[in-house]
Amino acid sequence: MAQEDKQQIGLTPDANEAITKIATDYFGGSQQDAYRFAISYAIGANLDIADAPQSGYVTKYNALGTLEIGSSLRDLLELLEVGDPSRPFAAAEKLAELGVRDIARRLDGNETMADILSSTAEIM
Amino acid sequence: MSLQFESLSLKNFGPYRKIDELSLRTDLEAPIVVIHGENTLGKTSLFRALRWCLYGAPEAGKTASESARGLTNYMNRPAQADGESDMQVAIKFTADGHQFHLTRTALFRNDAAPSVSADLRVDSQVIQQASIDVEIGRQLHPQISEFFLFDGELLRDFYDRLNSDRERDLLKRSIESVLGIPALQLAARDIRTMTDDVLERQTKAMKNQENAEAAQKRLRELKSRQESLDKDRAEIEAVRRKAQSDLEDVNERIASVEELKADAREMEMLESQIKGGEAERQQVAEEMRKLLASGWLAPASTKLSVVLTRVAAKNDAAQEKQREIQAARGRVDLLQKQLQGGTCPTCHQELPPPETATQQELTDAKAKLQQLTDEAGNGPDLPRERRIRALIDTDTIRTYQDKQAQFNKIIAAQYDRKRRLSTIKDRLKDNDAAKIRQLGRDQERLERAIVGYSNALRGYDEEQVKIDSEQKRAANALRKLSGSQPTLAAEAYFFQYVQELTNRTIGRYRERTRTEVERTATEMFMKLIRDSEGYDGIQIGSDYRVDLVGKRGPAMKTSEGGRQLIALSLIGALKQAAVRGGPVVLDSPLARLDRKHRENVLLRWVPELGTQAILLVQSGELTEQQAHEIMGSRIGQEYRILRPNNDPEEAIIERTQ
Repeated sequence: MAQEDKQQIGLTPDANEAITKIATDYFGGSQQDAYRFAISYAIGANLDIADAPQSGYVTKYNALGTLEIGSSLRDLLELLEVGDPSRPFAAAEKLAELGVRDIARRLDGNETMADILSSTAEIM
Repeated sequence: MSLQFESLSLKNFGPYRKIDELSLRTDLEAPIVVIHGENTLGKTSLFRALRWCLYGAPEAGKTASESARGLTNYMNRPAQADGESDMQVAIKFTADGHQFHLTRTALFRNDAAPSVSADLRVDSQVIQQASIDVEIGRQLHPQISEFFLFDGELLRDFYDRLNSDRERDLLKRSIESVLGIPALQLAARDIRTMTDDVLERQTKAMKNQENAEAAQKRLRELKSRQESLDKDRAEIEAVRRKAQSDLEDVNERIASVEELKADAREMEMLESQIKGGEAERQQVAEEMRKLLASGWLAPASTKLSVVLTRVAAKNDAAQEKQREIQAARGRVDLLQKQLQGGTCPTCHQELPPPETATQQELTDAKAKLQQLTDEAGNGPDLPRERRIRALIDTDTIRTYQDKQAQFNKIIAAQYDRKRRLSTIKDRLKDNDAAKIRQLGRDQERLERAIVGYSNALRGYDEEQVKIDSEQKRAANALRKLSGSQPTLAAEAYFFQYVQELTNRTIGRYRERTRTEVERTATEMFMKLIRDSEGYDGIQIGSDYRVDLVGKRGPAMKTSEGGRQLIALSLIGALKQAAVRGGPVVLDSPLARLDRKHRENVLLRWVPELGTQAILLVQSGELTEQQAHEIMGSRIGQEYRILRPNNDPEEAIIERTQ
């Protein structure tokens, strides 16, 4: 029997610390906005979902109703065929973890958010 | 032969970290050196470096010892931060056919006043430390330097100074130094000493003891009065010099109060700009936040675009396949109808009876239709294509980049404003109203004291006339006494005559040179001023009070620019009458003149100054292009001052072509 998708998703404590700073500096304090952005960034930056930690996530959001209003997030994953199609939120959690860590690393390296955004337009 | 600058080298002076041998060499055909530099770049620093090297004091009217404590302000701060502790200026110049190489160095240790040393070589011969100032003074005396090394501010004040009682005495002495009158006065003093001596010998040689003693007593009294007068005069002159120097200090600080007021205004403006900048920063940051929040799909959009291209291509192919199926199906329908008979579904005409081959064609058409249908699969997935398109965001990244550029610009402007504000606050923090009021009181007190000292000195002149007259009477009395020796009497008479002659000569020379300076200054002024027919000339009184004479008589009013032209005319005339020639160095001399008057000064005044003129100018008074248009080939050397890294504490000088 196929495993059910995650209903509550989050980040590891390290990534949680990083997203707090990213959200404060670039998202007016909204960690949800930063979280969604990190998922999209992880896809755009070709980060490999297999590199994400398999466990250690601390719940932050209800996937449906809080993080996903409508279906954009699931559409994104489905249309780009990212992760297990039957468990889109489980994939989204891992992508968010990878995205947050990479964005934090690049910001620490004195890149701007504009640099980070632009780099995804160059990656194919 | 007059003094000519050859080159200037600077190390760690003002904004100049290292300038090696800036050539100032000129010749008769091209006697002008022009150094262009916008305000605050370092023209005045260059000018002050020259003055410091020559006299040990960067600013006019100050002695080397008075300037020592302020030298720290001239040490290049980036060099200091790099651990360097020496500041050095070197000038090479020629005078009287000899090569001079003067180097002045200041060494800074901790917070104490720097140790300053000078090195002068004349044709490679080292001049003793103690003789350097005398040797430089012989070539270009500091007292006359303000007529040849002068800045625009001094020029602006020059006319007012000439017409104020307090300053006139000082300027008069400076002017008379230029004209060589003190040398004649020293000669007169020597002759007076010789006269004293012969009168003393005369009394000693007298036979009548009583008369001799009376005459000796009288002469001793006169000598004592003379000595006492000389001593008092020297003391008063010393305290007046000190008061003058203190006053200049106070004036400078008062001037800086004006600067402080300007600083306060700028501070308010900066604070308001910083506030506005902060609001702008917040607004742009908010716009950027909204962009990231609403455009969160933008980072994945390139990937989505790739998938879209693939899906769209697949859909195009599927649609093409559908069209082929449609065509195949139509063919099958037609063939079936032909076999069944009836009318053509298209043209509605009676179909011909079926041939044997038609059945075979139908079989083939059905097979082809089946093959196409098998290949087509599910057909195009247009909803999927639409869903992908709905997620693609092509605007956010570009818009965000624009906003980031705008944001960076705001941050940079805010940084500059805050840095400037911090500098101003540092300047303002040690000044309060009480201190500023005290400065005003000090200024009044010193001005009164200087007037008092000047009056006292004038009183000594009257006393000197009395002593001279009594000495003359004593000499006459001596001659008439019996027993006086004829040879000594003749000698005494001779010296007295020479003394009177010298005094008259000084008076006549002073008057002649004054008339000459007045005539030359008038000629120069007429060349400089626009509409010269409206003026009769410049009148210089015996006390060097300067008056502009118009068609309706003296005391004609004139503008600030006009007063500057008068000052330039007087300086030019003094330069021509001076006993020793030398270069003229002018820092921003044209700032208050309009273009016509600037042209007049450059074309008619500068060429009459002699063999070398160094002009430090900013583009507001003379652009590089205007310099070429106006002075052309008369420019011997031309440079511009630049700030290479946008750092006010760093400047370089480059040749313009």
